[in-house]
Amino acid sequence: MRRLSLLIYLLVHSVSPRSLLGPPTQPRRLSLLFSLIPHADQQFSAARDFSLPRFTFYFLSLLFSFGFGFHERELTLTSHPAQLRKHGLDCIRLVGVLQLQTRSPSLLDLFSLLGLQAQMSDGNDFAELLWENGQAVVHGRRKHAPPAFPPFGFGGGGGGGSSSNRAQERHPGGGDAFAKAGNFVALGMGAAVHDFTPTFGGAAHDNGDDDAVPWIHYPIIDDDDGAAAPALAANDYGSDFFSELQAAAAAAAAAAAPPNDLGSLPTNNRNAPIATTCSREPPSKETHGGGLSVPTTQASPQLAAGAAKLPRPSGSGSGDGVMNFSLFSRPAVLARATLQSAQRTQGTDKASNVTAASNRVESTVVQTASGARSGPAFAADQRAWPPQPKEMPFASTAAAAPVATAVNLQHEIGSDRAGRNIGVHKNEGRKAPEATVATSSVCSGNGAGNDELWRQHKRKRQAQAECSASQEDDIDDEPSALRRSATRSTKRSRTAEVHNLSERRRRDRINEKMRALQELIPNCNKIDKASMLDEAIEYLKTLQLQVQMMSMGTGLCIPPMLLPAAMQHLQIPPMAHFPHLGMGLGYGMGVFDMNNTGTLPMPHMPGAHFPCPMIPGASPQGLGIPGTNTLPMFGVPGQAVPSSAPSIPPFPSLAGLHVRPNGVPQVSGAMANMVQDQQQGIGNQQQQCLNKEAIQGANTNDPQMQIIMQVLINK
Amino acid sequence: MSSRRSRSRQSGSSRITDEQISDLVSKLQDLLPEARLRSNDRVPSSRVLQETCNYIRSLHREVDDLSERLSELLASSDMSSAQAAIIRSLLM
Repeated sequence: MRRLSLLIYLLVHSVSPRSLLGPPTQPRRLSLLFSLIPHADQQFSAARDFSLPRFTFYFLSLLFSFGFGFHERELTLTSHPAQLRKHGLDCIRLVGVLQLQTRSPSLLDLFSLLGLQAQMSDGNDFAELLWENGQAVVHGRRKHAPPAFPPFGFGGGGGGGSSSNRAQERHPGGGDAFAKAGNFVALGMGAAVHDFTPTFGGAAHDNGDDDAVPWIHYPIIDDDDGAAAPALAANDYGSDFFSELQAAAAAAAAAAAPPNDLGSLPTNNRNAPIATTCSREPPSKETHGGGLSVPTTQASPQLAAGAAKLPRPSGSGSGDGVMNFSLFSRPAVLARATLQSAQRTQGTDKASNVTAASNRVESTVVQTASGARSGPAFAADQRAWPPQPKEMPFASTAAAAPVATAVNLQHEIGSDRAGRNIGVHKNEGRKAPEATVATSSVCSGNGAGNDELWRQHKRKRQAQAECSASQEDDIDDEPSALRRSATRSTKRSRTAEVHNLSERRRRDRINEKMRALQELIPNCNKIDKASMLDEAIEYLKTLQLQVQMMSMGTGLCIPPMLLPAAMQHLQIPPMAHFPHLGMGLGYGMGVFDMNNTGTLPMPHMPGAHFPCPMIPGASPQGLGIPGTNTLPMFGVPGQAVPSSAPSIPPFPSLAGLHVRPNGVPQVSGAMANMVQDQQQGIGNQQQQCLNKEAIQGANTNDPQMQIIMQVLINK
Repeated sequence: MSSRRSRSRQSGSSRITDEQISDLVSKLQDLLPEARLRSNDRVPSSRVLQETCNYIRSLHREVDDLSERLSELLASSDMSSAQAAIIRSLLM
């Protein structure tokens, strides 16, 4: 009998990269998950695209292969539980973590489809579903008082007592699941744990509202923090996350099924603004008759580029996922592509294009204003613009984005809109002088630093100019108004120019580097610098993680003896101080060291050894990751970073070591057991070690396939 | 008048952006190996960005090397299928 334990973490609350303080815990967790995906090697082809969206995508697609699917923007279970059992699954554990302010209809639906009353109220930001042998149990995190469970051996820190209540909650349904969870943790921690499960959420309890945090392992933005870190970051991250998914989905969908769903992402509030951006492009919308397919063709270059970078899933399951995603993916992709195009054009030839763009903007505005030629009407229209951007995720960029996007799109595609463009060009030609004046003055004043902002500004000015121009048009005998406005703006801009000269140079330098950085980041379509930097940070973390993972992979073959035996007892400073350094070494070494013990390492790692300095109330347990500053996946974090690490040359030396044919480390063995199918021998020593609990609990010698899925969904 | 107001608003928002960006840049700086920015405490943003670019490139190289090495390991094939699966998964 094969058991598949699915842990789905639905992180509904937005988590921004900015809130990921410390070392990249999130990618690490993902990487572990990655190693747990069956046939992951077939599914992942691009070496560097190693990111949360991608993982989520594949986890979701795996999920789909088990009968889940997206219907009408909601994650639902499309197949009956019996069907799941056909897959050999007798146990599904879904764990959703909901933040307070967001309810996830998809999760609720999922639960209800499983025949559950998801008991998630607003106060319950955590709910857990355990489906086992046809019976499902939902646990609300706060439903029960914490039982007196023995704290973990290594619990240490804050989590020991509180962790227990999760264990108790669970135990009606799922001894097995627990054992498995325990296994997973054991895998992660390098320790077999008895009764271990609870730790997952354990630390959270101390935190009150933030209890989801340790569970998810990233810090979710606190209220105070949230104020400082603006919604921009979170939004960007969310939108980025989903749009990447969507890009992949759309790419696949372009070949597969036509999408019938126009809506924006269901679970993602943040994408709504993007979608609205899309809908706000008057020209493209009109000319395309609102069809979704057309945008795809428009965006094809960007889309193709994005899609090329995304690994295509193989296998039926992934296919399902793709199809499902495609249902709602288009708009966002379109929006993104358009944004991207706008960005591209502006980025490449800035100086010339800026004026041109502004002209175009102007003309567009004219178009929208079309019938109403009078000044007042125009002013009203113009006033109508600014509020919109404010709601958009791309804060500053958003200001300019809608118009600029629309304009650029229109300009690029221009040919099929001859009629419109005629009007445009006419206007353009007529107003060229004034527009240029305004543009150049503004532009010179500020340089390239705040393209978007200045574009917005420009747009306003040009709108003014336009306004006056149109007045002039109507009245036809007041050129002076126009002149006046032009000269005024020029003078002002000149002072600004002098004032900002050095600042501008600095900005230019930064922008230059920023562009270089952007080139290095795959799928970085961010327009504004802040989100671009966010992405860079995220990418850097994932890259570091990747290197770490790979060096661990090469290090898998290191004979355990080579590793210092004592390092697990060393107390080390928090990881945050040298994230880059602790990466591969601590990681791999924790694993090896764990292997070296050959037994349950748990006793050797009491909580006392764990540094756990930064996270008050969030003790480093759970999946072994909760602490932001800790090494998450394998090995007890504290142990994982030996102080001897600095003296050991990084990866190459590890990697260069010889392969030991028979010395399969336990962790890798366990992972492999998950990766492989269940035909793996029972007697597998590693599995015995790490899955000991599960095997005992199940009272079976059947090989077990355990896949623990964590799906992180950013909303 | 209105344009002046918009400009002041403009500069205000850009200042906020500046703060955000410097904040982000410092975070970026934290991610960099310290050896790359050994100079002193105050590192100009452009330098941080430059070093980030370099670091990313080096990481790319490292990934390439490692994947090469992993594939060699895979080719050597004197390991269990479990290991092979893991390595393959790492290679992506």
